[in-house]
Amino acid sequence: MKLWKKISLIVISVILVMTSAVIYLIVEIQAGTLRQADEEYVQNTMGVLVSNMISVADFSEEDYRDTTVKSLVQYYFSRYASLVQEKNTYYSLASEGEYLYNLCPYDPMACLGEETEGLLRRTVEYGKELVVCRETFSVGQQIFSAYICKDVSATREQIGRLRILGFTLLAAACAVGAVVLALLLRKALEPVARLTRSASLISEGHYGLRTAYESRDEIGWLSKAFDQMAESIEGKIESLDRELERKELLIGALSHEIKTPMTAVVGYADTLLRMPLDKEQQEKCARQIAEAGRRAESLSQKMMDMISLSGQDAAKKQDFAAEKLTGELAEIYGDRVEFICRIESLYGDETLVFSLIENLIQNALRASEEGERIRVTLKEEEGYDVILVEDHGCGISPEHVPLLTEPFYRVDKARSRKMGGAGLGLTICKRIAEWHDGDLHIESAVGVGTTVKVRIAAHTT
Amino acid sequence: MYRILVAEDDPSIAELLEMNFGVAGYECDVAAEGRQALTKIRERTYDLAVLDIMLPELDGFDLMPYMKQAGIPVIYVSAKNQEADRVKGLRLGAEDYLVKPFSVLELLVRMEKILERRHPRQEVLEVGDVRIFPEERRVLMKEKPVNLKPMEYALLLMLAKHPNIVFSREQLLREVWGDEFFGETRTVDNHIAVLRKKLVWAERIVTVHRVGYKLVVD
Repeated sequence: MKLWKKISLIVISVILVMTSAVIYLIVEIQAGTLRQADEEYVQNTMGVLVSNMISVADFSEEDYRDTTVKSLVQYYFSRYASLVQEKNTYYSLASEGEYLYNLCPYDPMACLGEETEGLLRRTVEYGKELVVCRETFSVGQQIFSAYICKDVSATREQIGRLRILGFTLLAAACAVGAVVLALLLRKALEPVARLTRSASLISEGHYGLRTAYESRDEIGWLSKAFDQMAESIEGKIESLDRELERKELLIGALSHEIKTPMTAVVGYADTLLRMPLDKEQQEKCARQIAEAGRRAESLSQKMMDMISLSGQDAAKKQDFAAEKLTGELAEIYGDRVEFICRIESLYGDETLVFSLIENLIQNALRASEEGERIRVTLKEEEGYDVILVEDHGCGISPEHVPLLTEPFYRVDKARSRKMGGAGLGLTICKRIAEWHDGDLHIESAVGVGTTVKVRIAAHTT
Repeated sequence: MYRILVAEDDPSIAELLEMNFGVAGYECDVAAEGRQALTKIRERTYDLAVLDIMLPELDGFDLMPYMKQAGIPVIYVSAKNQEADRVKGLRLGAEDYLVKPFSVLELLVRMEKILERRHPRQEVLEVGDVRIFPEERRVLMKEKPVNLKPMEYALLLMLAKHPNIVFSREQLLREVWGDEFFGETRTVDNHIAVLRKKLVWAERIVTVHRVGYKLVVD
């Protein structure tokens, strides 16, 4: 069932129940008032009647005979009854179980029974409703019973009509209300249908789509939240696509890199197997196969380093002495590299930082002529520990600089291969810097030299 | 003796080609980059060039016009395995395109076919007391003609042209019978047996265990 139908149905049901209750209450209160008015009327009339009858007794002679008294009372009663004659109200007079006067089409004595005093409401035949009242009074020695009987069926019918009218009007109002409500709700909920259409379009891959529904209500907020969601999904998808593209490029580059040693292995093995070679040539083949194998191995090792770095546990970071690090490096490269250490400690993984600096030193040495010195500086700068590796070697032309940290990117393919580079050194350095919440920046000018600046986050306590 | 130009920046591959070409009896020059290759073809003439595509500065595709100008047929040897690259290479006018890692023997055979087509030569192949005249499709043993069926002759020619080189049965099937031939390697064994019998070459055609056959020439 659609939402607008559901809401209409619920609202109409609630209104129906509430108004039914209200109308019922109003009708019942009205009915009570009408009934009470009837009863009060009968009681008052009776009061007047009886006092009249008693005053009759006052001026009657004491020594009147019973029959005289009886006929006197009967006479006055009939006079009075005919005087105050009113529609649907009947007067009756009885004495000793016999009617002295009765114009009532019903039998008020039978209605009340002998014992009951006062007022009684009783339903008699044909659905008529009567209010019957008896009052006993005595004149001389005689005891009389006066009855007033009012036919209140009209009141009952009036109440019934009121009831029918009330509920008919209610039903009509609800029917009209339901239609109007449904139409209004349908209109109000239309943006939801639009949202639904947009959502299904977005889920089909139109990530650039927006609902663009402006309104200051819940649906407006929903649209806005929805648009934000679509925006963030679009962003995520784009970044995933970029990531995927990068991965594909990396895999493409890797498979190309692995082909070179494989070509050598297959080629030399083939040659060994098939060609008539002398002893020296055979040895050369074997050496080349071993060399190519080592190259493939080193490549795969570096790839593993790079991949495992992204999953490395950050909890392994700790403070370590900077002097000790430069000391160890100076033992290996001391004759060509000058170390300046202006900080006490670094925060991170010592092995990784060591291999980072060593990598940069080797790059710098490769770029430099024999005898040119390289400077490695460790210092503090803007909350970062900074490692500077400067050389005055051949330098790199500006178009290569932004691409240097791409995997397998080589400025000079032939030269760096000959040097044994896999094309991953700077990529790994950058990853190490990023793992330390830092970055790697390269500045270079052809003929002047290259400066690599690595920033790693200082330990914040 | 044919002279071959190799343009390959990876030293181990360059050395591999140099060694094989030497053994196969070619003279070989190696250029490690495009410009060097250009200098070399200006200095000397070459019968064939084996070019890598991804070379520093001038790449293999860039070299093609110069090779055409100098009339040097080209075989590309590349790690680029995309169809687009192969099509581009062949469209530019290369004779062949081999993808790394490639079989050295396959390269040698393809080079041979190109060279033969370019330089048809009257030559006589001599193996012991057997002399083969490729132009006339004639084989003499001790000056007496030997009657060979077409496939037997083709197989003999293949072996005689590459003395001391071991061929696998599959290679022989492909190079002698052709790609379309759906034969079994038994076919090769049968033909080898016929050659051994007809030319009395039981000793000369050697079975190399688990590899194939070679024709031994001193």
